[in-house]
Amino acid sequence: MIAVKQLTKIYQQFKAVDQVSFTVQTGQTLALVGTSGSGKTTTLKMINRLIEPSSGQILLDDKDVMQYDPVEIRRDMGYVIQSIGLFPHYTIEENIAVVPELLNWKAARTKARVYALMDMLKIPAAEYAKKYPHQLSGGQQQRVGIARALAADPPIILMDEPFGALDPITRKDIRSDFMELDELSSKTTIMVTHDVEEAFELADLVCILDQGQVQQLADPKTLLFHPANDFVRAFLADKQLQLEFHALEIQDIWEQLPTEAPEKADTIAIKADATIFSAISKLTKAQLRAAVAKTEYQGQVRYYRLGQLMNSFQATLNHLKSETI
Amino acid sequence: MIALFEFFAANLSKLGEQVLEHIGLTFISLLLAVLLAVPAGILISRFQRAASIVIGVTGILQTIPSIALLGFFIPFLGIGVQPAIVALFLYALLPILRNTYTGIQEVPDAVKEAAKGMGMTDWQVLTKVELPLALPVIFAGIRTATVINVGVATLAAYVGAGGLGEFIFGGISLNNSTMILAGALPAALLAIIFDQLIALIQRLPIRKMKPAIQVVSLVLFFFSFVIMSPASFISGLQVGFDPEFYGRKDGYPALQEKYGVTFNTVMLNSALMYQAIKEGSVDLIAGYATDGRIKAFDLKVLKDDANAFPPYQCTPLVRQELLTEHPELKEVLDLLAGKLDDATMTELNYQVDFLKKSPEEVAKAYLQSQNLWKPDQRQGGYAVKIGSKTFTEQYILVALFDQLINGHTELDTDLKLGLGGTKICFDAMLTGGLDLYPEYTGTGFMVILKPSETEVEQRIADEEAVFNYVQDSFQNNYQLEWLQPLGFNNTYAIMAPKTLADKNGWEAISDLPKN
Repeated sequence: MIAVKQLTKIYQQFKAVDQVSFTVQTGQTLALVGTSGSGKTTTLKMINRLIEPSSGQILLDDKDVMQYDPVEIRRDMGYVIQSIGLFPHYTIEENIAVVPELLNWKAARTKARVYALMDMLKIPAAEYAKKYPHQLSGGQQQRVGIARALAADPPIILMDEPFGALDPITRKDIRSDFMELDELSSKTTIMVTHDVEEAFELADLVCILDQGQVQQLADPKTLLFHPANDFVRAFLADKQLQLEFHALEIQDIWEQLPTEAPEKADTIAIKADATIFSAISKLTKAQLRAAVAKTEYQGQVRYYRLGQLMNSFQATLNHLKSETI
Repeated sequence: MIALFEFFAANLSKLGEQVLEHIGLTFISLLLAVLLAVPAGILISRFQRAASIVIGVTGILQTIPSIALLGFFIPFLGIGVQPAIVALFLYALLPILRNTYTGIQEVPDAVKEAAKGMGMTDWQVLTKVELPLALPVIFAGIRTATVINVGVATLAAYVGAGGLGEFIFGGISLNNSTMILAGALPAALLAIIFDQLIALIQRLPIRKMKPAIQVVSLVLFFFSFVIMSPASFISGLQVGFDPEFYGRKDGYPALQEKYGVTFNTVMLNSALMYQAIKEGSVDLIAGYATDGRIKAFDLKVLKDDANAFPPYQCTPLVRQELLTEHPELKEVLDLLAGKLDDATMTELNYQVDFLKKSPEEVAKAYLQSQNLWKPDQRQGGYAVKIGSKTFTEQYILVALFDQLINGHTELDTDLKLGLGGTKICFDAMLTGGLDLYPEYTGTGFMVILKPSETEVEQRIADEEAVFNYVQDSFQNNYQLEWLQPLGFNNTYAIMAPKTLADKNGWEAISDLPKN
């Protein structure tokens, strides 16, 4: 659990971060979103004290971060950055082992952990452990960057535009592999991104910043359907449709769905609390052609044609829109 | 080539000694420079504002001519190994300092931020990330410094620190190409070997070799002390000779033969020699009879009572071809013939060396006093290329020739001042790079013609015989003409500080202790 209270950073007269507060529970992910210069990266870097706050408080499980040596604090926080920053003179294995080494882990423990992480992140240790960063693609390097951040099993993960420099396809792959990591359920994650869609896909809580101030701190659905002010509304407007895909769950449109039974047996299961985006993105091309969706709701399992599902969904969107407007 | 091998064979122990001295000088200065410049480079990478100042200052050090730098240290450090090491150390600073700074600067910010973000302390960021990544650049700097130092270390011979420069400068002074090569070739080889050795060290897996490195550094450290223990602590009379005097038949060997003396000698640059005797680093030097510093530094010339040194009458040495084309040149230069006696020349030298007048104004004042000065009337005629060696008297003589030629003829002049020795001037005359320069009959006789022992014996005491001999030989062999002697005899002179000489009752060279 991490709590930030009235965090402020002032450069000369300029308030880069102004009274930012939020709390993120263990297992949750918070996304800091905003335009360039909104103070999101500064906020993140104050948490691991790469930037010293001008005022405010950061509590890590009720202990005040400011009371500890910043070096100690950082070893409890995995850190992933956009430019990755792997050490070019270290092998992949040595790169991932940096923090365990700093913590004086036994060699065998470090190695086991590093190899396990490499396999989890789909950079097989057998092939990549002894290679150097320049021998890997950008996407693979960022996988190493993530493995490095997770290596010592820190309770907190800080990510600064972790997927920002990658092409859309690589980004999507890494993102989904990242989200599937079981370890994340026991960690508190804070990430900075300028990509709202990414924030909606990855985060439980989204904090929209502008000029150093929090505009709204809420879950994706609330942001979409109950924006706190015009800034938030304008900020989300461009991608409204895609965001709704990410935010709406099957159960939200349950009542609008048709009730016919499926005609074919090759169906896939989709949970009722899955977002529509994830429901669609799980279908392959072949499945899409004649797909039907099976949904579970209140103990019952039902099957639907995708085409009907989509029609219903569109209808729902129109309905919801007319309601908010 | 064969001559070179013969020279090596004959001087093997001397060569070995010089190579060791050379390695010692290069290595110690380099080690000290690394010890200072690497931490300094790291420090200025942390304090950006100091960086340009520190690098600028070391850059200025780099531009100071080596001889000037060596001369500057003699008052503080005396002569011998210490000033040489300090000078070499200063020259090695810039490349190492700048490369350390640049190397650290060039470590990508993302890598530094990641390192810090991982929870590395500042020290860990430096030692685990910045230094390893900057290492190739730092090593490149050390290699540059090494090559510079092997080269500059030849100049250590000028302050009595030994090294391969003894052969090189001895050879230049004595017009002995074999001797020059005997110093230059090993120096070049040393530069290449050192460079490759460091390249080799760079490739070693340093992280895995900590114990070996510690042992080697310890050994090198003690080795440094052995080298550092300077020869200059030897008791007895300290005598400073320049390489030319040391090697010439009519120099130190003649002195040993005629007087039966053996001295503790240190080899010094002729310009630094006077500085050394003034500061008391040496007790005796072999200078020139007309040197202005004799008066300035209160030195006493000891009488050459056994006629060890040959006559050194000074005349303009001119290419015959030019005299045929421009006969007026001879007429004009002969205006000075016989006019400059020892006392006059010493006075002129004194005015430049001690009263800090320029050679040009001293020359003009002298010519005016003799009613020989005329305003410049050059009309863009042929430019006579006049050369000089690197000492004051030559500068004054060249200024005299220059003003006479420009005032009395329509010829132009082109001055090539400060050529580094007899060999360079003489070779330039043969190739047409020079048309005229002031030369001394004794030098032409002993250094250029190198006559046999018997020929030397026959003529050495007779200045007219020497003049006729060189005139004939030069006309026939080199198409060069010695004009009429200017008057003074700038022969070698053994001199001591007047106080020391008077205290010991030294009047002539034969009064000196024999060893």
